[in-house]
Amino acid sequence: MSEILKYISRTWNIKKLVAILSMFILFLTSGFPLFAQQQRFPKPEFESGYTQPVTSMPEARSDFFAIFDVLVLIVALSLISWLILKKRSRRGVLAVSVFSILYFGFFREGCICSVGSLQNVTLALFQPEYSIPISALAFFVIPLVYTLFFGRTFCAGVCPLGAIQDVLLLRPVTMKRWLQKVLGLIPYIYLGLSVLYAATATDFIICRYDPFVGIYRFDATFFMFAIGAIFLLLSIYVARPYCRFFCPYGVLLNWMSRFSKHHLTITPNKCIQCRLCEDSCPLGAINKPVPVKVMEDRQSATKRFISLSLIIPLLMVLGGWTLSNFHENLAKVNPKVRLANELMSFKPDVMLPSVEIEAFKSAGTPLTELYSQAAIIIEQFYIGAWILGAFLGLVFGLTLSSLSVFKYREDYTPDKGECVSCARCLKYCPVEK
Amino acid sequence: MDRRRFLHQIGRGTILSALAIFSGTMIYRNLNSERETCDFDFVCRNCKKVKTCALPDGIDFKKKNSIQ
Repeated sequence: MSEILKYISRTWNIKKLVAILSMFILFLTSGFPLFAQQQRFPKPEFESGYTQPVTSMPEARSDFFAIFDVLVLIVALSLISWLILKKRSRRGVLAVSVFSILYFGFFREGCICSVGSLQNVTLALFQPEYSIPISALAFFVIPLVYTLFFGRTFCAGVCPLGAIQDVLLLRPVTMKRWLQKVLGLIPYIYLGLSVLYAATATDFIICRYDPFVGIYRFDATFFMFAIGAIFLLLSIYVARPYCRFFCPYGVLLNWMSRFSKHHLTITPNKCIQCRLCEDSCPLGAINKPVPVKVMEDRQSATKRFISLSLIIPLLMVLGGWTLSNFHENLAKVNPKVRLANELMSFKPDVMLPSVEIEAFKSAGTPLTELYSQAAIIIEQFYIGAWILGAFLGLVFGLTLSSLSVFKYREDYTPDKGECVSCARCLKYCPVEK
Repeated sequence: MDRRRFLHQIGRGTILSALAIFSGTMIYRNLNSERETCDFDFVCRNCKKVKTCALPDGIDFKKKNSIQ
């Protein structure tokens, strides 16, 4: 036994042990074993056709507590912005992260969150009969305003989805730049799809496929639990995988942060080019200095950028046309379209009616009304698919063009768009204020 | 002030104005809306406001569950 222990102590280091231990704790605490046990036996079949609901929502908050949540958000955002920009404290960021996980995560069960509020805002924009709750509007707007002034301090530790990934990052792995660029396109697709489905009042896909909400609520389908656990495990090695490669609200924050007035700086004073911070960012969001001898002639760089930009309209048309060909498939997610399709292919003499068909028949709505509503929705999807395709073409085109641009920089600076202001890089800088 | 900073300032001002106009419109629409709205996706089962709800779904739910 002692030989084994000696062998382990010789070959394993503390970091490895912490990583393994954290994985073990993660599995224990995420309710995985309990859930797996529940899934062992088939659920009872009820004769009434009752099926177990798969989605659950936390209880609605009274107006007072909805406002209280908004106040907590403002206080947390102000505090974390002060901690990052003035105190330059990573510990402070961690403390706020833990608070957000506990309050916005476990206590508020991940609802309401700014990421999901994007859909409420879209629905309110496109469906005038929908009145957006003031708290949802506040949760959407306030982090954007803070980002415009202080950078992505919301992502740093106030967002419960980002915070839970951030605190688990123990062994960060550096990703290849090209892979980050490619995976970084997914949030734009997700953003486009979530806007399309919210605008057509089809579904709130961000909430439906939120990987962490099931963990916060201790209640989700086995599939969503598994996705959440995978994301958490991945967070140990890859910094914030959901934030970087999926979060649609992160796209908006990225855009806002580029215009931010007071963004986090790595050094509090003049950069001495010591290169200590060079690899400190687990997100790869540090811009390295570009020496003058590497810098390209401005005129030729501009020419190349313009010629590359000319392909953007082409990509937009191509994207729009391609997606518009799939508008009927995209529309199938809509319950009315799905029901209309089901009813069209339904043969009463050989098929048993589904619960949806029975519910529709018992409601007494004329079939023609459903078909006309479905046709309108499909038409909306056709236009939406064109816009979504054009948007994605624009994003791809701009990404391609941006790859050819080399900005001249003297110092190590955070990439204002990508940096989530987690303050990890600060401790690497030897320069005192 | 250099050109980049000037452009950033214009961008920030534009976005802030857009957000302010949008928020103002939404709040105005909410305050002036005579119709009652559901802020809970019509999941009456867990809604704390269901007792005072005047929406058809809420009334139906109250009838079915004999809530006064």
